Amino acid sequence: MTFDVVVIGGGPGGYVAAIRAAQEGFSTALIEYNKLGGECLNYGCIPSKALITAGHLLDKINNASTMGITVQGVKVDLAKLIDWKASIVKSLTGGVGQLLKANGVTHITGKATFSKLDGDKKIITVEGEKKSEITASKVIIASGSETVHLPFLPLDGETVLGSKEALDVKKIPESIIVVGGGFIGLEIGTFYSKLGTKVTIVEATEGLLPGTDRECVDVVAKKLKKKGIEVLLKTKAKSFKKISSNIKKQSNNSAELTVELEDGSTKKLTADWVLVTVGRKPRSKDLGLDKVGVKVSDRGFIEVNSHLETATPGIYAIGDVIGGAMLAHKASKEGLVAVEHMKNPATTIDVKALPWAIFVDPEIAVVGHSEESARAAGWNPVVGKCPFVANGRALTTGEAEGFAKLIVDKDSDRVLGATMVGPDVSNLIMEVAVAIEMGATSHDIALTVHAHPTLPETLMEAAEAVHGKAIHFFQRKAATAKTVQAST
Amino acid sequence: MNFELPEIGEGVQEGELIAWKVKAGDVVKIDQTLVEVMTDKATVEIPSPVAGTVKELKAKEGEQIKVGQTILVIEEGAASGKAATKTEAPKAEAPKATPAPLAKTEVEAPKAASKTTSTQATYTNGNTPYTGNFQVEAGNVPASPYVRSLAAKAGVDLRNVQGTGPLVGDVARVLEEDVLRFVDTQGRAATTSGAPVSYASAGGLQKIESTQVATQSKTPSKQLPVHNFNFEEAVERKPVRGLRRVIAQAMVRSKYTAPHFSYVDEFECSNLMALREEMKKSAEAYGIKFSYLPFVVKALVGALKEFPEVNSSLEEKDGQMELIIKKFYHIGIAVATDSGLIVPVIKHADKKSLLQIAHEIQTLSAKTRAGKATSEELKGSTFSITSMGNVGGQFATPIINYPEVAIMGVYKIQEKPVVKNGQIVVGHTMTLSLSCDHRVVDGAVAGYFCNAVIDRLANPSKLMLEMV
Repeated sequence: MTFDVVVIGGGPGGYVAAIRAAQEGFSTALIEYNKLGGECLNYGCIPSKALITAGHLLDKINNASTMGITVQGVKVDLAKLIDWKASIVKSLTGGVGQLLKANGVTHITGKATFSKLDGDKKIITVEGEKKSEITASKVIIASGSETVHLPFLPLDGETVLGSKEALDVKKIPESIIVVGGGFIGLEIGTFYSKLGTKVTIVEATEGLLPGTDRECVDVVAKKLKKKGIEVLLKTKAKSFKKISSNIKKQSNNSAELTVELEDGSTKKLTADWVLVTVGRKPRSKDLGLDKVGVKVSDRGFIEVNSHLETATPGIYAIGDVIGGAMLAHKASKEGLVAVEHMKNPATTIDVKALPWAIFVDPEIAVVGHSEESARAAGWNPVVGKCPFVANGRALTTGEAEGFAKLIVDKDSDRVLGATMVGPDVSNLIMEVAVAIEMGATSHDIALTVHAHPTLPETLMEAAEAVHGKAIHFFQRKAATAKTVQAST
Repeated sequence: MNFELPEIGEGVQEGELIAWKVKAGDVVKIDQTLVEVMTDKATVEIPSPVAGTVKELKAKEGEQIKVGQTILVIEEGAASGKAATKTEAPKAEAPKATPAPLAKTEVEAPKAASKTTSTQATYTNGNTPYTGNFQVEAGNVPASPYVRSLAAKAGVDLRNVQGTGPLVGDVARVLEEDVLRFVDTQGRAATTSGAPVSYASAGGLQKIESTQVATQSKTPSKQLPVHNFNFEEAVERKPVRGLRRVIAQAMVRSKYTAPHFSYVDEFECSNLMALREEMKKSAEAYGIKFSYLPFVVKALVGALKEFPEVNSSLEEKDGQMELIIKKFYHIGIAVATDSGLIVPVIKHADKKSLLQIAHEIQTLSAKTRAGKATSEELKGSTFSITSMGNVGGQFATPIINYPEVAIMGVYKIQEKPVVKNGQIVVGHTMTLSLSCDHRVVDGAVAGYFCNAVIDRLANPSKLMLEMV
């Protein structure tokens, strides 16, 4: 079989690239050995968000008494919850399949391996139900990433679980230990905590969510503590033991994890199971990359240029497998750029704002520069900050923790970034993303009328706060930004 | 294990063993090249599916070997035992097929690329590394994503464009019209200065399509214009049927069966012209158009009698060859028709008068052009003539009307300076070509045969001596 474009991997990078390639008139095939939708739709973003939403609702019901609502007999039918989650995943992945078909993309199930170059052509071997050979003019590698395992904590699906397994359990555990205080560990840990599970988080570094704004993390950490989640920082998992007990003729396995605390002493933690979320690694092995001259870094990431093209002309790589932020929407964007480059060689990736969100409680969302990175990049940043307690709508939802910070260049007033923690900030962040991409100033945001009562008013106030002119909270001292004439 | 020649390409059943890369006693690793095999499609390096020691080579270099044939024996495990059990079936191993000898330098490319894996700067196609920086860099010109993509397509660096949008600090936002204006003025400047003008866009600049766009000197564009050339839209596909198909098959059969060579000569034809003028007038009384072809036919028959092997065909059966020498003289005359070339036949030309032949040529040609010639009239020729006199040209190298062994081309009479009695005078020359099947007719024979024809035409009185 011969195609103009062959995409390896059916995740949010691969399927988006394949559909766009077909739209552009290329004969296109997508090779996926597992399920369409990749990590994101099947085991990551979507299933975890379904469960997190359910956990959030349960939390709201349990705390509804302040609004005068008392609910009794609340219980969680876990099997039904998991089914509901599965039905969402099924409908989304099914939708991807239909879209591929409707756009004329040939969907091939099997494991793809490069076998050789034949002039400009790339020869790919696919091992599916039978072995076949595919010839492509252009190839997009979107093979993604996979969970990193700790050697002494091999996943067994029973007492040691990865994120994928933790979203597909049969019963609610009484207690869990989360190894790794990154966003996956916190999201899933928070969910189980809301179901009533005793959660302990073990993080090797000095703070949760490494790389995230400390002020935001503090808000989340405070809430974790309030919910009874135990957080052990600067603590390393050392060894693991499975304990089998037999109570009332029911065999029961649980986990015993030995950790080394900050002071060097060791401690034994026990729980129903251990969730390992220590990171992800690129899936670049076994693709036959060496046969076609594609370069891979020491850490296994495929190296690409600003066209998303690898060292071999006509072979592109996108998404997790090239490293950087492992985000579905980054992969999608890169896929679109790669296809555009096939049509127009002047195309390079040009993204000024890559928003991302962490679905902890409350949510964290970030786009563009932080104050530190803006300074490092040569800007003269100033921050406008507005707390959600100053927002009427936030108060009426009962969720007024957190704040919005707008990072602005003091000299030009240009919006450079935003960092937010609070209610629904995963949705709010987009206003700033558009502002950054448009080269807007904080005045552009401040002068835009925001509907009342809505959460985005917080951003308008943050933009005003840049110039010391917030209305809904008192700024003792005007921020240092020079006052820019509103009309230019 | 007995190592059998694995599948070496789709539909390829055998190949020639070009070179052994190992010998008996060699220790080989997995994937180490054992042997080079050439098929009609490619030269293929066959890797070892196992690690071990070569015990015996069971085929020789230069030998034709078949897929599935045992070509060597390897004792597994001697080199690195563990790996040996891993791959049992050699057929599952994809052979490193390399496209045939001509492309040898290209074939090396992937290897070279993987060798340099650990070094930098192997990108041949744009060397800006992907930074993964999704933030606004200092000095960035404020412009919307759409305007930025527009500028990128036109190869414009926004830092050189004066924006007219709302100020961001003291820099005006660059708007769509600013980029278009910049492209327009730069394009004109470049055109008047004679600098090369390139257009790096494959769309997105429709508004200024008629304007040439200059790439800025700072960022010379390496991009050539992108042609959205669709082969299928630019061609018309027509089935080849009927006469065209028959001609195609016949030409292929002739050219691939009979090794052709051509022999060309010219002669002074004033005598022939004079005679033909006379006969033409006489023939008019019969309503017959008298061309030169009847003379050529008669001259050929005379020459064919002198050189019987030129009026023959070669038969090959069960490895035996037989020459069939024909004692009858059926001369085919190639006729161009609207649907293609058709060759009606003058039967027993040796037994017909010039006038009869002229009459037959006239009527047969007309019938053939009208598509009314019977199949009987179109077969059985022993030798053919093709006349290009009406078309022009110097000469051609016609393809033999197989299974005949030669064809004569007749070309237009030209006025040329000729030497007569030590004087250069204006003479008339006619060119003849003879394409021969070299299996039967050698070059010298062709030359003598041609001479025999020319002798009769240059001195037409000799024709009279042979008249029946």
